[in-house]
Amino acid sequence: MPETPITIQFEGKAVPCRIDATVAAALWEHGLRVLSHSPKYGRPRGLLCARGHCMNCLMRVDGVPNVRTCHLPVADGLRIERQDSGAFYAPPMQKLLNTTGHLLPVGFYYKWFTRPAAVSNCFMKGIRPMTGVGRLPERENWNGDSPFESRDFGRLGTVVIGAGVAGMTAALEADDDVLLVDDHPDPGGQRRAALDRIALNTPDVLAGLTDLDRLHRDLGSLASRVEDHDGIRFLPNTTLVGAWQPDMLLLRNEAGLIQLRARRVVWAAGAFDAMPLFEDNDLPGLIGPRALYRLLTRDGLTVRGLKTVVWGHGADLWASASLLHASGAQVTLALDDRASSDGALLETAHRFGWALQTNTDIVAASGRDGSLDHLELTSNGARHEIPCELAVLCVHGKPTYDVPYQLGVDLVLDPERGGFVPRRADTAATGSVSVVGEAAGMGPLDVLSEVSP
Amino acid sequence: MSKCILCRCEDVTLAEFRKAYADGFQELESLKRFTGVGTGFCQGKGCLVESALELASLRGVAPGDIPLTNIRPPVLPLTFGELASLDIPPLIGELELPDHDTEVSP
Repeated sequence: MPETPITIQFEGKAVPCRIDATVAAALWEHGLRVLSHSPKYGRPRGLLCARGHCMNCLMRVDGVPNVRTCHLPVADGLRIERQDSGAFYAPPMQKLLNTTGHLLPVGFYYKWFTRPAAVSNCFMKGIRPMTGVGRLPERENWNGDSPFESRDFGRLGTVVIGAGVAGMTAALEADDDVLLVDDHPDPGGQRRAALDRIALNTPDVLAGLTDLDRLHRDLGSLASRVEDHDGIRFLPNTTLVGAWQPDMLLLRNEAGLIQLRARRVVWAAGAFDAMPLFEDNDLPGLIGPRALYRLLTRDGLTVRGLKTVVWGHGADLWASASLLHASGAQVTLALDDRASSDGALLETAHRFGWALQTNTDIVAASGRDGSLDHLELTSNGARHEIPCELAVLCVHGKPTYDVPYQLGVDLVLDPERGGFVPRRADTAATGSVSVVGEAAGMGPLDVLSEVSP
Repeated sequence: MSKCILCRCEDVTLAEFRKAYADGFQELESLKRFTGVGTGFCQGKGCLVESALELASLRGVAPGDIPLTNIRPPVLPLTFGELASLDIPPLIGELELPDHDTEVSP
């Protein structure tokens, strides 16, 4: 860890931080976990997706609004403010908004004061200014003049979006030139980075989790084959922002937008973290496994000594618990009723001192100072409170459906596969668009068994 | 006051979603418009699947009977500066309108 700490300013307060932290990670370490507030009820919001999908970590940085602080490296003197006018959302106002919000129920503006016209006009005048919050960028700090560059890659053969197990396999199997795109710096994605950390810090934990150990080795060997392959060009730190049927894609990275057309598109972008429904399920400190992998391995979040709960089932439950253990956190493992009661897994939990609860369900989360303080669980029918500042909720991921929809894939809602997935699993092989891996509703280990006999 | 939040961006609770259903909004498209679920910053990445599953159980139908709402690009927020940098004309020339845009009425 670098020796010389640097300092950022959070709403007028100096926050010393490690030079390799992101802004949100630095704030987290100082207990500043409320990064924004929800628009209607003023509820506290903190780190959630770590992927640029949610608005929770958007803050005003050096006078510029809507900056993604979960991904922004710290710099000395950086001025950070919550952009939802912090004073307005002080605890008394939060309480008021939370308890009176139901007086303005959802959709009220469709029903109330709609006629006569004079009343409606008056009402609209009052309500319109309430729909947006925030301030424009400060003129002196706005770099709006800096030119964005767009590039056109022209027509390509195969484009594979997502460099996890499924994406790398598809890239290696393609019979023409491949562009392999991922929002991570290295092929293998967030799960590989997480498993690398576990293997490095606590190899004996990984040795006890046979499936994850195999996933780790396979991710590593696929990644090195991808790197050595002359026909595969890897485009890191790049995300897809839209598709226009039948074959036009728009991508984005630090350098700007990229447009291209592809003869064949393989969608292997995995899944979103699913957040279960329970009381106060939006408290800062509740996240999914994919966010955990990114936050701990890429964004420099530290959890040493922190009380954490990992709840749910599946490979991500064990990977999350191992990653937290490898990063120095105290782990309580709360298995739900779908979790495997495999003896070797439970033995590993026992060996490394993880507190274990079985057959659990989450009843509610409770907070203190706006962030997670404990989880209320039922375990075999009995009610428990488990103190924790971070809880990782591991259920079946929600397959990414947005771009496949835009590419014309026929999608159907299937809870067993986690969400909207291709109606026909073999759409893949036939058309110019394939949806594979977790994006097609598989679990992370199912993808593995498909590719390595 | 504790709440079970369905849509984090638009601050829609599960109870509000059920109330809107009881008020007669019984399609995902109309629930989306009326309550705001799926219309926020994340464009439904956090709540659309949950909302569709909840609607299936409210209606007492199989999940497969709930169709996905329309999802237009971009799927991530872009700045005007980025959009302005695009070299649009050559693309427009080649672009064929996707089918779903022509099916959906405003």
